[in-house]
Amino acid sequence: MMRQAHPTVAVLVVLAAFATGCASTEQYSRFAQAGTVYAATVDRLLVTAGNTGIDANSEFLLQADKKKNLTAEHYWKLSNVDEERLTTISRLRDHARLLARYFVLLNELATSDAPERAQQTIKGVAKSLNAFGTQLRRSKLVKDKEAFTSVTKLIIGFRIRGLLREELDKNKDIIWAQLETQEKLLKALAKTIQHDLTIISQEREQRLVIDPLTESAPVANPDEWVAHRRMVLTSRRSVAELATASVAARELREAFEDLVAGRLHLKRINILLTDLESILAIAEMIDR
Amino acid sequence: MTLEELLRDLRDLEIRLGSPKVQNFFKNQPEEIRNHFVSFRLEVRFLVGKLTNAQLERIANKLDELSADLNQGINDLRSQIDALNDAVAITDTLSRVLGLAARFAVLCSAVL
Repeated sequence: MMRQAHPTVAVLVVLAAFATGCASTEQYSRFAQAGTVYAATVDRLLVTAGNTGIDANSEFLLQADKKKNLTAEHYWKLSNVDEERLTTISRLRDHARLLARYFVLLNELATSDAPERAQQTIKGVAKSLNAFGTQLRRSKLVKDKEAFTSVTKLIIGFRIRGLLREELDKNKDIIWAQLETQEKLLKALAKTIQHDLTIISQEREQRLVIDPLTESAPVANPDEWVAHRRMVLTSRRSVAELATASVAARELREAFEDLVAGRLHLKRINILLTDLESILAIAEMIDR
Repeated sequence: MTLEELLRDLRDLEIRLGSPKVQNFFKNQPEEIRNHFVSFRLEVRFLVGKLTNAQLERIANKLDELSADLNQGINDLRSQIDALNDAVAITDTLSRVLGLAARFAVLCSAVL
């Protein structure tokens, strides 16, 4: 039994030595999941940026019309800007979806059940080989079936880690360039949305709160005025909270650098996922 | 001055122009001055919009440049997953072939 165990142990020791310093499949999987959530967050913020841009122009036009009679030309000047932005946003959403596809496939490779499936099919092979051997030589060809199937599962598992490592080595510069550009996009989107929300808040406060209050007649609908005032003042909180978007973008890029270096801590991914979830919640609140 | 710096300064200006203090000041001005103020604010709104669009478009163009490589990365991953699944499928087929061969061997030895 010991003589048969030695080759198996030797294989495991070699594979373990090879695996030292490499990221585990779980690290790849968690990073890929974070990347997928990140791509979804970017997509959501792109939609929000389109909506807040349109609303900011709408609120501006309404207020401006009170002070100066606006023409159709004034309207189209700003409306064309909205149309251009929506076209660019559509392109950017396509890119976010492409990045998401990459991360989904990375996760698929990292969480492949190929080792388990291979283990099952190899059991069948071992059984068949033994049936063969028994018929041909009156002895089994695969004496230690358990070790045979366990090593198979390990080999396929290490093969997957090898594939993931190969993938990272081959495409790390491409992914890094993507994440760097996406970081710039997320920062730009956060600032754009923050600015448009500030404009919306200013114009709405003037239209719905200050103008009714400062007119000679008392406020016509007090309950509505109270609700409007609360909406205006609480919407400013979203502006400040969007600052975390820039942080999340940098966190993903840094997590990728750690993955490449084989030192990614899963805690880092969990923090990033929490930040991304709060950004998604803010975007949903803004669009309500 | 970079696009980002110009955009930042214009955005700051726009927020100051839209502040309640400034808006209420111009509200009480003669019509001609009010009109000038609105035209000026419209122009600033337009410029902020155009510069924002230019910034986003620049990023979209950069992502366009990178997309061919990313598509290649996606194809590589698909190939690796397919190869892995093929290897398992081949092993499965091997298992069935060997199973049939073993039964055939049994039949042959019974005949002989």
